[in-house]
Amino acid sequence: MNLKTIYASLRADLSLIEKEMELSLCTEEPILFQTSKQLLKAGGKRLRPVFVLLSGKFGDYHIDKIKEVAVALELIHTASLVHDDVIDDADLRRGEPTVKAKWNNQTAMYTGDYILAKALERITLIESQEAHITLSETIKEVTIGEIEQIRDQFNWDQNLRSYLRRIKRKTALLISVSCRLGALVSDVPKHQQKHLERFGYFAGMSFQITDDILDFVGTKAKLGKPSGGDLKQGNVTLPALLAMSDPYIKEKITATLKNKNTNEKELNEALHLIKSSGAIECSENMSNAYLHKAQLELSNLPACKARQSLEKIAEYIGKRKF
Amino acid sequence: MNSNELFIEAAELKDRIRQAIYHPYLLKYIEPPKIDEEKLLILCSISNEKNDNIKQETILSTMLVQIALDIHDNVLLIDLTSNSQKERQLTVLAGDYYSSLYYKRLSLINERRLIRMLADGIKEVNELKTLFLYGENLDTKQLLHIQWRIEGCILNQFSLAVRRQKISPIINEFFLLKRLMKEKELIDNGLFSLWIHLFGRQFTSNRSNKKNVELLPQEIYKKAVQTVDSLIIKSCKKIEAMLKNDEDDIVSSIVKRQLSLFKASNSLFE
Repeated sequence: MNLKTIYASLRADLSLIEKEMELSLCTEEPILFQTSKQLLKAGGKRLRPVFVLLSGKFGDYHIDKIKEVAVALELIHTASLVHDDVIDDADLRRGEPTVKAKWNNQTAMYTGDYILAKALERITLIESQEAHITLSETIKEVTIGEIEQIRDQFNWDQNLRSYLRRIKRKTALLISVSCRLGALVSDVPKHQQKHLERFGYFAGMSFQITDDILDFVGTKAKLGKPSGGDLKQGNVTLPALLAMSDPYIKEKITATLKNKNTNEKELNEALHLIKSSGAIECSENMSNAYLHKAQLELSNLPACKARQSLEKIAEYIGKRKF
Repeated sequence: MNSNELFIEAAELKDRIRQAIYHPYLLKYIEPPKIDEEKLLILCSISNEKNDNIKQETILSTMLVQIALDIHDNVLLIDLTSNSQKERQLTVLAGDYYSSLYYKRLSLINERRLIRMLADGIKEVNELKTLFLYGENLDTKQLLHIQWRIEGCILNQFSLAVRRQKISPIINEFFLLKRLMKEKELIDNGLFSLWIHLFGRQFTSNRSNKKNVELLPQEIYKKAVQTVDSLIIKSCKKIEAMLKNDEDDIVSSIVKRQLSLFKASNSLFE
């Protein structure tokens, strides 16, 4: 079973979610209509809805109910990306101009707020208070993570713990909550909900570490944006952090990045230093360790097609190239 | 509740809001968010909730929504003036953070209906703000009506959620006047008013460039300021006429009090 097969097995439900997202973002305001349409067209892997749906399969699966969670989570993710592009001053995402590049920062702000509001409107169709407490706490933590990322920019004295806490908030929590809420609204037994939540957390950690590796080794064509962006913006990710355990590399990198107008040649030299330090391989090992933990969580769940699918997704996360 | 009790309750809530929005790192780089005292008073007067905790949490959360929306307006101001990257980044995140707090607090008291009503308000405000920014061939009357709706939208959603009725139009009218007065005050103090630049774009012939928001030439900006002056006088008269028919004593007393302060502090009324 490959990723395509997994998506194919969920095709009807994923198409429904796509349509519901389109419906949700329908507005008579022409600019918001265009920006929302552009974001939906740009697509993405729709990982969060997939996690929601597959987790729901362990319980009493009703698409009419679970779709509200899947739509809301993907909209929350989309809204955060639009605002992230303002924060990162990013002109490209998935190879396409961002909303802030095509219009301006303010339009991106209104678009993000509009989409988040639509997400909350959708999720309130779910009655469970537990679901709302969980999701709202996650959104708060994600935002705190982003604030801390800004605070830690160009701080070259970070430790592994602070990096892991940051990526937990940045990525793992939303994937983890996707699994948890999919299970919760489908009345999956509590102990299984916990395993699914932890699976999502570990898979999310691995996903973000892979993302951080790809920022060093990926190509612009594959990434849809120039590589080395994290380092240029002073975001200390795992490969840089591990490479900087060598004082020589740390000194070189801090000297290069001290000047915020670093030219391409200097940046490439810094990237080369990190890539040749063995830090990429160490980061891959750490990503794989998280994947292993994710797989272990799945082993506590009943053997079924959904479990197989989650195993395959975890495998894909480890091997993905973009 | 009489107006004295109302003022005491609003003052207590203002302190709680200050605590809720306090974030040392954010406030190191951005201005502390403004808490609109009149909006707070109006919310206190609208709420008919008997349980003190629920009443306070619902009002506080509604104010968080208003603060989050207001703070995100500053992104354009930063782009056009300081262009400071860190200020912009943290302004974006401050708004997002306050939004998350509204959802969290209302979830904890299981106020699902209010979460939805406020989300609907956020959606509408952002549609209206985008229209204000980009709407083609909008005249003074249309632009003011958009602003009239923006100013009252969140209060209205709160009122619809807790009382199942809309706010009195005098409230929208009052907050529109407050906006005009605020922008006028900036100008009088030699400061920059982005709102007047946006409002004054109706007097230019070229609004076709949708991507960039450009500042107005001096003579057009002056014309916009003069228009705002005359709108303030008109709006005041309109509110005074409305006050004669308004039966809500508390709202009337809030509006009357503020109106007399406006009049006392501005040369337009001399």
